Amino acid sequence: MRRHSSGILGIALLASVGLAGALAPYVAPMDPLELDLGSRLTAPEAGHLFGTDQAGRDLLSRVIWGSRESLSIAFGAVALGLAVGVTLGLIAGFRQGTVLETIIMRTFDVLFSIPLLVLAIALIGIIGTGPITIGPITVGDQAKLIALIGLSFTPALGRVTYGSTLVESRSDYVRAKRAQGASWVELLFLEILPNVVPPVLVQATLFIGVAVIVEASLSFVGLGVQPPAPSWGTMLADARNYIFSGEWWIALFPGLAICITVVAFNLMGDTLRDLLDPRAGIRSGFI
Amino acid sequence: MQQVGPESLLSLEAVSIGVAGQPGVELVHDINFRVTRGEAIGIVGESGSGKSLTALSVAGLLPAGLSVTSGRIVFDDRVISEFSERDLHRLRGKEISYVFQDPLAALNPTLTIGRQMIDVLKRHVGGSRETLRRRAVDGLASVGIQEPESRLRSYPHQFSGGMRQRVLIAMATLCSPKLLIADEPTTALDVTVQANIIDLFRAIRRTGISLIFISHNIDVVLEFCDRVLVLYGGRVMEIGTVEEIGLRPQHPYTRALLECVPRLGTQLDRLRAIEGQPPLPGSQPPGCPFAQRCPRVISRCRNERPPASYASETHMFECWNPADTVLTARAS
Repeated sequence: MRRHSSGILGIALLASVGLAGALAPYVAPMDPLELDLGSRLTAPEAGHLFGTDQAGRDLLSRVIWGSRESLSIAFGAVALGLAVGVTLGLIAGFRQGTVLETIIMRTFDVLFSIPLLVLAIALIGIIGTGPITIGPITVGDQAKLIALIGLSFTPALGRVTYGSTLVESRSDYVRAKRAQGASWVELLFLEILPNVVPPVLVQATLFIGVAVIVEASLSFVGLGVQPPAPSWGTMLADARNYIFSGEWWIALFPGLAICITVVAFNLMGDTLRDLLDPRAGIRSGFI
Repeated sequence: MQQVGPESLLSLEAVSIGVAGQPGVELVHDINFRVTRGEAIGIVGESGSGKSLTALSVAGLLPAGLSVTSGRIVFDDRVISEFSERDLHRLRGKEISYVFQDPLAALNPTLTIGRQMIDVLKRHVGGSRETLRRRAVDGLASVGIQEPESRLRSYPHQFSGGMRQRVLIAMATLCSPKLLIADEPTTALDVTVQANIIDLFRAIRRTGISLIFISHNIDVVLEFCDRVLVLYGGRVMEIGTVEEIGLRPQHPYTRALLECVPRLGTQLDRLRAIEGQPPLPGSQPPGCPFAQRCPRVISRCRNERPPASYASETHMFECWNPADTVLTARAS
């Protein structure tokens, strides 16, 4: 139990942040959008535990609602990255030496060579901020961020999958299943997939933390979640002007929220890696 | 075509296996043999003699880069060497089943035994979940696994090596195949377990399934097969019934293989080994591939390929200088 204590801490932190986000309407003391110009820039006090911002909005409520925004974008992006990356990685690894493999892996290389934030900023620059309507579907900021961040995670997750798939597809059990009449779709998704999941899962957990930072960064520079919606990134952007004038709480609390969430995901990812890596010796105990 | 009699189940007709796209690089040359219904045929030879490739070629399972470059394979009156991958899917595991050498690696470590067995049935048989589960339970019971019901929920790592090989044999026979190909199924197991597994193959034979049993141990094959095929350097050296091969081997290589196996009751200071190395796969000496290591080599062996000679209707060998004395030291 002791060796996993950091992972348990991570899970506990995440559970509290996640619960706060999920139950935001019930746990937030106030409406995060409600302006109260009479009590602008109030330092933390009994009525406003985290103080208020330049428009008199309650910061505690905004941080709680912000976790909902940040986590849903982060989870959505990683889920999308996993779905696309793992599928393409599996196919490329299994179809080694084919044109398909070359196309997939070289596309990953190209995407990989562009720094994530630069790619995101360029794409947002092209499609613009704010909701866009394509026929009957309206794509909001959130969906756009999920698609964008998810896409930028695809090559890394795809490569991890590709590497394990290369190894697994040469293994005896795959040959044996082929001799039992399994088609390549069955081999890939029923047989190989469960064996390549562990390293990808670790990577994905760490990426959720990265996604939180990317979302905050984009929102900070005004390319992500648009004000007045509460997002940790936009809150930090608002706080920019007040750091040197003494209103420290506006920057501190959203910053702390980002920090805790990212650390929690990293702690969890590290523990997960220790648990799933056979070389770590924990798993080999019962094999 | 004249080879395909009514009772013939599988026939390999002049099958060669080579590297796709590189004509001239051949690993298996001009193999001819057939398996009749209900027959068990053993294939013996050293590592690299082409046993496994020959076996894998039957259901189109050759490793990437290798292919059947000439000849054809006829199974149950169908030319399966011309089958598409889709057609082969339907054949594999249902009509032609395989059991491989390493039972530790041949099961997916992340799925339960039950799931892996039911997957095979779902693919080839179909039916309600409960029917399939019952069949899987019966399958495990038929190979002598205790408490098959609860064992279905076990993972491969919870079984011993011998048990895993039993599970794999159960999986291979689940759909009552016409032909079972076992590629060194006992090599990775210890000797006592080996004997049990061979008993299992004997039992399978009694159900009428034809068997191709590959081994580098000629004694194992002589024990329970009907006929034996001796391969060396990717060529058939000798083929005959168990009695012919065991008692009157013509080819010096077959003799050498028989002398490699220790026997009870014979006093030996040293076990005889075959001198030298087998030829490199893909190399094609002009004469007999065994010439360089053969104790009975004559000058002709090195330059001219020996033609097929017949000691009886069922006993073929390719040798210029056969040793035709009867072996009497062998206890049956």
